[in-house]
This record gives sequence, C-alpha cells and structure tokens, in this order.
Amino acid sequence: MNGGKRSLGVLLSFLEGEGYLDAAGRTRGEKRLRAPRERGTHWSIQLLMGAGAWLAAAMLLGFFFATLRLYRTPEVFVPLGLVVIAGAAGLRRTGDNVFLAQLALAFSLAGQALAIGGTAEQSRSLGAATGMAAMLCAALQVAYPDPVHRALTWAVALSTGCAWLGGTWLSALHLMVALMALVVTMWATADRPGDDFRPAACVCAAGLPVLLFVMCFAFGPSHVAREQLSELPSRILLAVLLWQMAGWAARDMEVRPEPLVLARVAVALLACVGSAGLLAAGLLLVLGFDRQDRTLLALGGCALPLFLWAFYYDLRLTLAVKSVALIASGLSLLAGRMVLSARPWAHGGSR
Amino acid sequence: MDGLARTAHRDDVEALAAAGVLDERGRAAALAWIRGRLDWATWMDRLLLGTGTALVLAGIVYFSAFNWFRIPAWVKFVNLELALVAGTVAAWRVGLERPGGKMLLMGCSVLVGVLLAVFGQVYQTGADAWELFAGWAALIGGWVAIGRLAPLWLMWIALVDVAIGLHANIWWGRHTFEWTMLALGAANGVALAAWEAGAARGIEWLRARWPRRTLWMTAVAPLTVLAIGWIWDASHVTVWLGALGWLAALGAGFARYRRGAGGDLTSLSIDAASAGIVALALLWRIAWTAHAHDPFFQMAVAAIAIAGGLGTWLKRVADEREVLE
Repeated sequence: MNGGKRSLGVLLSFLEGEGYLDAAGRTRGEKRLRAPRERGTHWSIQLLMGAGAWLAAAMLLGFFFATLRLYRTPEVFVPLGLVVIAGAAGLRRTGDNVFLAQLALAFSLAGQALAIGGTAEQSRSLGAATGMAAMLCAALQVAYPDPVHRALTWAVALSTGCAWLGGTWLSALHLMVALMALVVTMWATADRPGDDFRPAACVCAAGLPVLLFVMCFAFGPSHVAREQLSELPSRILLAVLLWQMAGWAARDMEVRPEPLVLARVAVALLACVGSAGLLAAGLLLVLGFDRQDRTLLALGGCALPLFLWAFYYDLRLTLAVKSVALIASGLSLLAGRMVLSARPWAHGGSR
Repeated sequence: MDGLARTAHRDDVEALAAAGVLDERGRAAALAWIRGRLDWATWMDRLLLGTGTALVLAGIVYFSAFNWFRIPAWVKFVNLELALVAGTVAAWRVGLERPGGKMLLMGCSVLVGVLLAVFGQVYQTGADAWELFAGWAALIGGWVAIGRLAPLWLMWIALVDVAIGLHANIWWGRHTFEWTMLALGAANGVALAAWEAGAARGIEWLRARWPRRTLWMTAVAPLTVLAIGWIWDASHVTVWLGALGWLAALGAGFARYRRGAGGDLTSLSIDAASAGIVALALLWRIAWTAHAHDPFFQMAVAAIAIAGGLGTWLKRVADEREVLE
C-alpha cells in the first residue's frame, strides 16, 4: 500500500521539521521502520491452537472422570485442579516449545474446570464458582504469561460469571451491556491497551454475539425478548458508558470543560430517552476509526445489529412506532450524508 | 517497495516510541499528525450510507413483519412495489459504479424478499418455505449479476444455501442430511472457484479477502462433516462422495492458499483445522475399533500433538510469507 501524503516518510519529515527528531534520530527511526515488524502469532493460528487446547482439556477431563472415576470423590476436585494448574504454569515457564506450551495450556484449562466445578459442587453455588474463576483469572494473568492462555482464562471466567448472573438476577441483554462496558473501560483506561488487556478485551468483544447466540439457542428469541433492554440497569449502565466515551473521544482535543460536560450530559440524556445501545455502537465505530483499532470497530460492528435486534423486541413500543422511528433515523443519516458530501472538504480526502 | 512509502499507522508511532526514537511529546505530535490525516470523509460517507440504508430497511422489515389487518392488501403491495421501482430507478440514475447506487440495489434486493413474504402472508398460498428463498434468489439474480457488490453476492449465495437446506428437509428422503451437506459443499465450492478465478483475472471488486474466506469456510465445513461420516460409516455413496470432495478441497486449498499471490494464512488455517478434526475422528475410530474402552488420555495427547504440529507448520508458513492480513 502506498501511503502518499500519509506515508511514513512524510511523517518522519514532519517530525524532523518540527524538531521532534534530529538527523540521527531520523536515521534510527528509518532503520526501525524498515525492519520487519515484530509480529505476534497470527490470530487464526492462535484460534486453532486455542481450540485444540479446549478439545484436549475436554479429553483430559474425560480421562479424569471416566477412566480414573474421579466423580466418586468430589472433595478432591479443587485441590487436584489447583495442583494441575500449578504444574501447567510451571511447565509453561520451562520454554517456548510449541508442544510443551500446548500440553501446559490443555492441563491448565482442565485444572481450571476441575477447580471451578469442584467449588460449585462443594458450595452448591455458582456465585462461589464465579469467585474461584475470577481469582484464578487474576492469578494466572501474572503466573502464566501467554496471550492464548489469557484469552481462554478470561473466557472461562466470563462464561462462569454470565452463567451465574444470568441464572440469578441479570437478564441476557444486561449482561451484553455489561460486557460492552467492560471492554470500553479497558480500552479507555489505557491510551492503547497493552498485551495484558488485549486478549481479555477480544474475549469480551467476541462474548457479545456468542452470548446472544447461546441465549437464543438455549431459550429461544421469545424468552430473550421478555428481558427488555429498556429496564433501568441497562439504561444506567449505557448512560455511564456514553458519558465515559464522550470524555474519551475528547481526550486528545483541546476542549474546554464546559462544552465537554454539556456533550456528556447530552449523550447521557439521549441514553435515557432513546435507544442507547445503538448510540453507543455508533460511538464505538467512530472511536475505533479514530484510534485505528480493529477490535473497537469489530465491537461496534457486532453491537449495532445486536441492539437493532433488541429494539425489535422492545415490548413498550408497537411495531408501527418502531418502524417509523427506524425509517426516520435511517433517512436522517442518509440526509446527513448528502449534506456532508456537498461540503468541499469531503472531496479532499481528509478532514 | 521502500518501507517508508506505506501509510503511517498508530502502531508505527508506538514502535518508534518503544524504541526510544520518539519522546512523549514527539509521540503525541505524531499521533495527532496521523489522526489529522485520516480519511474521515470517505469513512463517514460509508458509515452513514451503510447504517442509514440498514435502518431504513430494518424499518420496512419491522413494518411488514406484523400482519396489519387494518391496512388493505393492495396498499401493502403498492407501497412495497413503489419503493422497489423508486429504488431501482434511483440506483440506475445514481449509477452502479458509485457506492450509493450499489447500496440502493442491495436495498431493492432485500425488498424483493419482503414483498414475497408479504405475498405469502396475504394469500396464504401454502407454498413451502424453500420456494420463498429460491424465488427470491431467482428474482434478484439479474441485479446480483450486474451489481458487482461482494455483500450482495454473498447474500445471494446464502439464499441459495437456505433454499437447498429447506428443500432437502422436505423432499430428499433417506440420507437427507448427507445429501444436504454434499449439496452445500458443492454449491459453495463452485461459487468460491468462480470467485477465485475472477480475482485471479484481476477483477477489482472480487479481490477482497473476507468473502473468499467466508465461502471457503462454508464449503469446507459440510465436506468435513461428510469425511467424519465416512470414517464412522462408509456404507452410503454420499459419504464417499463427500470424503473425496473433502480430499479434493483440501488439496486445492493447500495449493491455492499456501503461497503466491493468492496466499492467505486464514484460509490455510481453515484447511489445517479441517484436516486436524478429521485426523482426530480417524484416531478415535481406530481406538474404538481396537476396543479401547476409555481412549480419553490417548485422544488428549493426540489433540495436543495435532494442534501443536499444525500450529508449528502454520507459523513456518507465516514466517516464509512475511505478508499477513
């Protein structure tokens, strides 16, 4: 891809011209940028290996239960699980051999399943199991420095938490909003999420469509439909989320506090009267483009149809009102596009 | 190409900052420079067009989803048909080479489905569900052909797939599932082959990766199921055909996506995942035949070995290729 006016060469010239780089710095910069990029493992390979580890962990659990008859002694689940996890973490630290890493990953997942399942079995409470999953997740972020493992551990903790919350007092759609808020908080707290946060945030982003699919598959859309997004917890959460995103969007701009507060209040109020999820999804798309962040863009792209779907099942409104609202909103956006495309800057390729 | 001619990305600035080339002030200035040169106009244009069209279409679908008894049938039809005619004329006037024209054509294609659904609501024709999707695909076929729009093609292929699946459920008798898998694998495989041929000839709108990956996934998945079926029970011709098709697809995918201009690591990973799943199924079958009562531990070791082996191979391919999406 040829960058033209946005190329790295032009950027270095700008930095040199503005005094941020001297001649030696420019040479070092060119050398650094010409070197092959340090890449992590491609996402599709990570996905394949993660899926392989899940499968191996399931087989190991089958071995523990069917072959070793572990189900007869549920009191050993937790200690055995913790020992298996510790062994896996130790094994992972011995080196970067792919097969050893895969072995450690499978054992760690099996150990987590044992420890979390054992806690649920002993306490008869999914809340306690969620506590155990959260503790393991936090401890393993430090003890097991591997991106695939981090993502899978987050997936385990989030699944357990969703099962607990979904079975008690939170609806599926509330959980989706909470997941979205979690991702955005992770992104907003760091200018760009580091390696520690990225796997977790990706899992949260993927959790949105997965949760919707699981809920619809398990209970049917009509069950999910009853759990309206218009309920108070979601509205409060989305209002806070929009407040936070407005501040985040303005972080790098020289904006006086008064208009920023006004903007934040305006979007929070919009969350109270309108379809806040759609607004949040749109804001995520804009922020994702502004920050050139594919994960944020993907999250916004997942959230938009999701909240559109939720709007369909908003039982406070008739289908006629909803269809008029949607058509009017769509036409407003298309009219906005026409107005924007008539502006001279729209043809210049930049703002 | 000179490495400095590519478009500056936020990651490049972070790399310079991490290497100590830029201090915090320089990093902030570089990030501001990049943000100031983002192509907001084009992006906003696409976003507003895409979401605006999606919302309008969703509104029309919502309206038609409920059987409004108070509205006479002719009003429903006239409304939808007027919208269709207006959309088609607008697409022609705007021009199919422009994003607005393409989006209008996409909208009209969706409206045809809504019109057929309303027709079924009003007249209760007793037609089977597959006829709706087959008719929809047939009616918009001409627009799809001239639209030169990847999402529209994918929508059309999805309609064909749904029609095949629904038709199979009603008419295909014994071994329906296997026949359906075979038909889906073949239909999506043919579509992918045509797509790849067009991309290889340099047709610009066919060059995007994501539609090809989607088609590859939807072609390989049903054939993988049939290959597993062949491992467990090879008594029917469908699983034989499916297993042979799977082998052919695997070979073709390896040849196409391994290297060269068409090389694509994601598609190769789909190939590898399919091979790994079938290998595991084969091992399980061997253990089963050998009367191993609980082959879980052996299967766990096999899963680790297969995933590790495939991961190592794919990483090596990635290192060779240098260019990853």
